[in-house]
Amino acid sequence: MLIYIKNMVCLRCKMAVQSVLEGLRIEYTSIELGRVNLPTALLPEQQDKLAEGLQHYQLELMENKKQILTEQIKVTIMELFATPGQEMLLKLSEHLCNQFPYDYTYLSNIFSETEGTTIERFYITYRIERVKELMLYESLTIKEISYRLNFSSVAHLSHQFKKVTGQTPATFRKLCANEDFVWRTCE
Amino acid sequence: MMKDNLRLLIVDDDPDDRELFMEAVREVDESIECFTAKNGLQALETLRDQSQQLPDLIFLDISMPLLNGRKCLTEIKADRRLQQIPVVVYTTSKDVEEARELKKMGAFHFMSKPRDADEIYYIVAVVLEEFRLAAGAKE
Repeated sequence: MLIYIKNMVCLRCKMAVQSVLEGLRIEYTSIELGRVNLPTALLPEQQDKLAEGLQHYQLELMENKKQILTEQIKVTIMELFATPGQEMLLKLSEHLCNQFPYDYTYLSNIFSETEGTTIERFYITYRIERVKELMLYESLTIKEISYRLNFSSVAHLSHQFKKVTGQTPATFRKLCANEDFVWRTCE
Repeated sequence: MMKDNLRLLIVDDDPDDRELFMEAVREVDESIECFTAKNGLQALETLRDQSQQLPDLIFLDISMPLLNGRKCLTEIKADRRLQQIPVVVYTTSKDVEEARELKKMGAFHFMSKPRDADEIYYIVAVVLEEFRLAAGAKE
């Protein structure tokens, strides 16, 4: 059976979930962004302990269907950026409609209702997080990143980076040279 | 080859909303030329003026006096010279059925009017990317 977890955004989140499950000796089949596959259903006390353990990492067990759908939308968007060349091959709205049996308007309404913001904002904000990762962990140039993430130009990337973060990419890179600088918000 | 400077027509009876959209578009890409119309009738007059260059994309409010967005969309899609222009329709409604119907009428995208100027930026940014993607695919 599947259980759904809110706020998983990266490998560290998956490792955190794994650590909680193993600490509680809960067997699992697989851990993916946003969900865990379990061979058997959880007992109520296991569910409570799991929820408590996840909270420690600012992760949350979800039961509400709208929350689950919203989280799945987020994971689908995040997975777009996981494989180079996959980003924005299709219209975002089309891609989401291909993944879920709902109209884009319905998905958009549920997302906005649950998250308090739009799918589009999440998409752009997450893409900028990916820009930061590529700058820092793969040391790509802005030109290379703009090509990889399908920005229309370097200027477009820089402009959007500043809109979302308040900094230019160059300023951000300089700040990150300071090891104490915390650059990522793991939501 | 896709030309560099896009032309975008914003059709909305609310002057504040027209200004918000124009600001959002300028923020996304200052090279885009924006022009506006106050209602569907004025939009069609502008579009049918053969001395004017056609826009590459239209943002169309559904609720307007003097020819609403729905009728304007119908007219655009019935006109051979205008029908290929992608039209993004927006409305305060979040009605899924209405969205489905407008997409069937030929709308490129349907969006609920965002609550604030910041949200308009993000929606416009994604719509423009989708438009560029679609335009690039046709070449």
